[in-house]
Order: sequence, then structure tokens, then C-alpha cells
Amino acid sequence: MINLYSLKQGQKALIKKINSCENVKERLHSFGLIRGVEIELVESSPLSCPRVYRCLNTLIAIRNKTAKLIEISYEE
Amino acid sequence: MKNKKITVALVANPNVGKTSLLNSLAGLSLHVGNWSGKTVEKMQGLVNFGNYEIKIVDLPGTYSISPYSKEEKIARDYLVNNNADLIVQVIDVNALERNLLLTFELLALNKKLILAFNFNKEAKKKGLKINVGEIKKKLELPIIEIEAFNCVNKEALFNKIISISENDLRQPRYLEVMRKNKEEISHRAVLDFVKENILPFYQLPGSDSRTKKIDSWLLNKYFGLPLFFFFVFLMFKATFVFSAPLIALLNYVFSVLSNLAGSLSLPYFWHSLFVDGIIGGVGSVLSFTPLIFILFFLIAILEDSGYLSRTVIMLDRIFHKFGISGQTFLPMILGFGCNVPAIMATRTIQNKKERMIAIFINSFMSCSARLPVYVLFTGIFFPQKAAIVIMVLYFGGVVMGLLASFILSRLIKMDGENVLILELPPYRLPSLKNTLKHAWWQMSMFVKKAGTLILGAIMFIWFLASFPMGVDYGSAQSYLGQFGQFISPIFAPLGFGHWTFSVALIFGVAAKEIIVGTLGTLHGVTADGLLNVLPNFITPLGAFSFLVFVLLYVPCLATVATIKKESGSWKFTIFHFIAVSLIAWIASFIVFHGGLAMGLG
Repeated sequence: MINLYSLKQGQKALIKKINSCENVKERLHSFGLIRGVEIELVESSPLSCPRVYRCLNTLIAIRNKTAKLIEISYEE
Repeated sequence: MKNKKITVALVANPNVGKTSLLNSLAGLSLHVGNWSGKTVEKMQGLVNFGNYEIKIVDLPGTYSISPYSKEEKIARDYLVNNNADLIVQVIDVNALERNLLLTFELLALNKKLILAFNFNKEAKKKGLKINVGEIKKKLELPIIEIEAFNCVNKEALFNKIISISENDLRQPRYLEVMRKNKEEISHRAVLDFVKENILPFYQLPGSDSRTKKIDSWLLNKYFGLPLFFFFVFLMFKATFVFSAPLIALLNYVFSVLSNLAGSLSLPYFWHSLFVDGIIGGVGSVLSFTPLIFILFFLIAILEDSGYLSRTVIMLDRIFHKFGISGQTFLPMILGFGCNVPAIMATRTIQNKKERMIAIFINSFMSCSARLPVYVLFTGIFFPQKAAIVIMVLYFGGVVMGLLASFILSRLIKMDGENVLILELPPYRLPSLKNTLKHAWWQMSMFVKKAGTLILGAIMFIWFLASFPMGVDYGSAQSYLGQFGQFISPIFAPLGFGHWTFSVALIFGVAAKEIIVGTLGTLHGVTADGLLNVLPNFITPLGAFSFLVFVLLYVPCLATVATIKKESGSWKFTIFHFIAVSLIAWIASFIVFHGGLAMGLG
């Protein structure tokens, strides 16, 4: 299983599944992190957590702990 | 002819220009309040347009109104329970897809909806290709293209609001397919619909190269943090440098007023009531206003430029270990200047639990009013090591703050997991008009809400210090003096059991600046004279213990009033008051007895 945390800077992938509690999942959804959506690692904060991703043309900062709950698959 | 009334709820994701739109729609009629029982700001305005009186209610920026999200409950509750005639959703066309997620949730509430597309010019400049006419047809919703910053198409939006409010509700046909149940919408189904129907008419340029370029500096692994500290330092400096002359001017005005009152040769009692009570009280409320205005002007610039959310992720990693997020850092630093605006600045923290913690620990940040006490005591007792002792105190406050958040984050049980998910908006040039307005609101809110509380409390202290009739202000014979003597045994185990210290500490609750003056008055000398007098009543170790107490106990009445206003809870305010007093006592006890054990007595 590959998760969002393993994404390299500039690399893109598709969101496959979110393995968190319902509350966090709903919040991620509302930010556009939904199954099938493309996500790209754009930037890392100076202390390397959280990291900044692009998703539906917005920049979203997520802690690495949370990123590990998000399964991804690489695009063709 | 009588005006017809329409209530419009303004809804949007954060950072899409909703506040600017509100400004340009409602202008001067805007009225800032709080949602009942909540600490979140509520703004509304009343506009007369044609024969209509349009009430615009601004709902807090939100990503979702799904029943799950607790933090966004206010917006949902209002939309479900109150009879807004229609909803206007402001949409950033740069992030249309993400914004539409909220649109469909709003539709599911069965309310009339108008979409206001914002940042059209900016998007087109970046290379966005969009066919609004087709999108309008596909969504079956009215869309107005606006520019919130400079009122473009304001009339068109008002006309649309009126015509839609007159028509019957017409739900788009596609909605039924997306419902998971009566209330909820399937996000996945929304994206599928958007992909098929909207995206053919919406072509994004590549990524935002300007924002990316700026971020590569401001979030840089090597320069990011130093730049951040530099900006915080600038902000801190600017707040206190620019407000200093204004505060001095206010103080001058009030000293002129005091002199005027003095020249009336009133009886002692009335003179004291005017000078110490009323003029002193009003003066201390107003002396905060320049600080608040300038600080919130700068915060608004940070916020509108897009940098504020970046500051949150800078130190998040460290703060997360103490149970809070990077959002607490900025208010903490501001606390070194003054706790009052710093506690107001915790408004930028969305999570309620974290905000309460941030409010609580802010009083441990050593504000500038405590410095004169440190300077006096270290000058007398540690003349060689004054700088080090003062540094230890400042640092001790930060350590205590982090310790307290570590404990509080485990004690306070609220909305489960605290997960940081934060949007970083694109960098934009802030508008001067908006930032000034924002600062003005904050300032007037402070005077209205906290002002009366502070004034009342200062009058109470004045009363205790002036009665029974005929005693000297604040002397041993006054109620305050008697009370000070009564409670002085409490402080004996801390190394400062003489009653003058207790009285000074009680006055210190009103404002820390008074402590030095009070000690002088009570010992019958000027502040310089204390140099020879104080060592007769307290040892160097006792003096250090006193400073630790001053650092940690209740900062001042203005802070207490602000905590009440910002937390919205007397229970929390009283808890804070008692808790920090206890913590101060325990810390001083440990310092004093630890020192004795090490033979420092």
C-alpha cells in the first residue's frame, strides 16, 4: 500500500482511499481530498511537517501523520 | 410605500473574498457582533436598494456544512434554523471545483442560491479559460461575475437577489442523483457531475507560478524560518514603536485632565474619585486602543496577503508535541508586548479547544508592563546579573506556557482528534481600505465589550483603596490595605510576607505598572528610594520569588476582561484567574524553598 507521505516533491498521484475516522475523513473531503482526485506534493514546510499539496487547484497543508492515512495510486 | 424585506446569508469557503464583498455590499451599515453564546464574530449589514430592505448576514467561512463538521456548525445551524430568504455563495473561480463541493451541500438544504464568481480578472490574467454562460446552464443556477475588491457588478447582484427572492424555489434536476440521504450529498458524485458537465467549459492554466515562486522563498528550508522570525520581529517592533507616541499622547491628555480636576480644588474624596477612579479607569481602557488598532491592521495585512496561514505551518511540528498547533505561535509572541491584543489575536485559531488553550497560556507570556517590576527588583538585588535574571523570567514564562498547553490539551476533552488541515491561499495584494476597516472594528469592539468591564473593575479597586472615608488612597487603613495585611501570611512561605507586597500584588491585578508605584507609596519613598528600603523587608531570594509570582499570576484586569470576552465564558475566566494564581504560588514556593535548600537564602 502506498500512502500520500511517500509522494516525492513534484510527483502526482490519485487518491484511492482515506483510512481515518469519519470526522477527519469528512474534513479531508471538504478540502477536496476525495477518491479519484489528483494530488501533487508541492512544498515542504521548513521543519518538513506539515507538507503542502495541490489538490483541485488549491494548496492544502497536511501533517505527515495524517498523510500516512491517505492511500494513493500512481497515475499511468 | 413600505419596504419589502429580504434576508440574505453570505456563505463561502475561506479566502475567496467574502469579507471584501460584504464590505462593498453593506459598506458602513456593517455591524459586528458575536453569534449568541459563541466566540465567533457575526457581521451583518442593512442595505436599501430600490423598494427593498436587504439584510446581509455573514456566515463564518466554511469548507463544509455537512452534519459531521463540528467547527462549522454555526453556518449549518443558521441555514437550517433561520429563515434566510436566499443564500449567496462567493466562489473563487481559480478553485471552482473545490468551491462547488460546498455549493451542492447548500443546494441539499433546499434554499434559493445565487453564485457570485470572484477573482475573475485575476484568473483570466493567469490564463484561465471559462465559459460562464454554459456553466450557468449546466448548473441551472444564477451566476453573477463580481470583483469583490472594487464593487464590480454590485447592482447586478442586488437585482438578482431581488428577482430570485420573488421567484419560487426551483431545484436543479441533477440534485436527486447526488443525494446520499435527505441531508447529505455524495462528494464523489459531485465531482463526477462536475467533470462531465462543467470541466469542458473550464480550463485551468498550469499552476500558479507567482505563488510558487514566493513560497520557494518563504517556505524555504533554510530561509523560511529566519524570514518568519524577521517578520514577527518587524511586526512586534512596528506595533510598539508606532503605538508609543499615540499612547503617550493619550496619557498626556489624561494628565491634563487630571491637572484640570486638581485645579478645581475639590475635597480629597471627590478629587480622588475623578483622578484615580474615572480618569485613571477610562485612561487605562483607551491606552490599549492604539496597540489594538495597529496590531490588527498588521494582522489583517498578514491574513489578506496569504502569509498568515504559512506562519501556521512553520513551527507546527514543535507545537504539535505540546498538544497545540502552529497557530498558537503568533499570539504567544504578541503576548510579550501586551496580552490584551495577543489574546484577541487567538481568533485566527479555528479549533475551539486549541483556542482556549492559547488564551489560557498567553497570560504566562511576560508582557511589557511587567518589565518595570523586573528592572526595579533586579536593579536592587541582582545589579550584576540583571539581564540574565530578566531573561530567565521571560524564558520561564514560555516554558510554563508550553507545559500548561501540554497538560491542558490532555485535560480538555473536546471534538476528538485535533487534525491540522489548512488551505494556503494564493498570495494577493491586501487592500488598504479593508485592512483599516478591520482594525477599526477590532478596536471599537474592544472598547465596547472589554472597556466597560475594565472600567467597572478599576472603579471597584478604587473604592476599596479609598474607603473607609478619610483614609489616604491605598494606605494600610483602607479596605485594600487591611485586606493586604490579612492575606500577607499566604505569601510568607514564598519569601515576601510583608504586607506591602500583598497590597502591591492586589494593585498589580489592576495593572502591573502600578506595582512599583504602590511599593513606593506604601514605604513613603519614591521609586529610587526603594533601593535603600526594600532590602530591609525582603531577601534577594525572596525578591526573585516575588518576580516569579509577578510573572505568572493574573496579568491585569484588562486581560481578564479580554479573556471573558474572547472565551465567552465566566467559568473559564474564573478558572483561569484561580489556576494562574495557584500556579504562581506553587512556582514561587518551589523557587524559594529550592533556593533555601541550595543555601541561596
